[in-house]
Amino acid sequence: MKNKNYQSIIEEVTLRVFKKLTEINLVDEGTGFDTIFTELKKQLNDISIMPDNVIDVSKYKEHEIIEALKRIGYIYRKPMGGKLHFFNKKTSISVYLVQKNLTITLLP
Amino acid sequence: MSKNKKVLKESITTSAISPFSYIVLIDCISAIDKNRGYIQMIFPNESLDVIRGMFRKVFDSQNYAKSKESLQSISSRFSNNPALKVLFQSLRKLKSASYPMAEKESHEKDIQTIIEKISTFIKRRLTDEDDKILENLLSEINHVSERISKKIDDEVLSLGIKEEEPIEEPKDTKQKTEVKVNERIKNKLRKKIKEIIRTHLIKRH
Repeated sequence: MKNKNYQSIIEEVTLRVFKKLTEINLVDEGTGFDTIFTELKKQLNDISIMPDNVIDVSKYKEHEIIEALKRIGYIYRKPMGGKLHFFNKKTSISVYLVQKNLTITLLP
Repeated sequence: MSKNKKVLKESITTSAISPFSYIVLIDCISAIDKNRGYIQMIFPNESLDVIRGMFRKVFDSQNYAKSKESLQSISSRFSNNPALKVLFQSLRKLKSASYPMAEKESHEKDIQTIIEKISTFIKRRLTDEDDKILENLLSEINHVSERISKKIDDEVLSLGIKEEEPIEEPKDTKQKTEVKVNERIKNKLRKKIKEIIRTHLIKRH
C-alpha cells in the first residue's frame, strides 16, 4: 500500500517536471536552427538554407546581417577565428557569422 | 594569427594608439551619419552636427572611403551593446560631476580608468581585419581622439571647485564681549557694595 502511494507521488512529480520542461523553450540544434532561420528570414528576405544547418546570408552586407541579428536578440560577443560570435541572452543560443563567405552556423 | 603574436602586436601598437582611439573607431560611422552613438552619450548637450564636425579629419580622408564598409560592420557590432552603454553612462556621470580642486588628480585618474576599461572592452572584441582598418586610419582617428580628449579635459577642469578659506572671526567682537562682561560684573559689584554700605549704616543707626 505504502509502495503504491510512493509510486503515485513519483509519477505525479515526474509529470509536473515534464510539463515544466516542455514550457521552457528547450532548443536542440535542429529546432534552434529552424527557429533562427524563420526569425532571420523575417528580417532578411533573401536568405537560404545550405547543407549541414548553414544559413546563406551572402546576398547582404556584413553590417546589414549584424543589424538583423541584433533585431532578433543576438548581441556581438567576440571574434573566433574568422567567425563572429553572437549570443542571445533570452534563449541562450549562440550563432556564428563566418566573415569569409557570409554564412551563419550554430557551430563554433 | 596566433595568440602570442597578437599579444606582441598589441604591446607594440598600444604606444601609438590612445585608449580613446578605440572609441572613435567604433563610433565613427554613427557620428558621421549623425546617428546617436557613444560619443554623443558623453556630450549630451552637443548637437549631432558638432559631433560630426569633430570627425572631419576622418571623413575627409581617402582611407575612410576605402574602409567605409568595414567601419559600418564594426560600428553595427558595437552599437547598443548593453555593457558598453553602462560604461559610457558611468563616464558621462563622472565627467559631469563637480569635484574639489584638491582631488583633481584622483578625479582625472578615475575618468582615465573608465576610458581604459572601455578601450579594453573594444580591443578584445576586434578581429585582425579590424586592427588593419584601425592602422590604416590611425592618424585621422588619433587626431579626432585628441580633440575629444581635450574637450573632456576642458569640461572636467571647469567643474573643479576651489575650496574657500575658513573665515576668521574678527578680534574686535571678542574684545567687545569681554568688555561687556566686565561692565556687568562691575555693576553687580557696585550694587553689592551699595547694599553692604546700606545695611552697615542701618545697623549703626
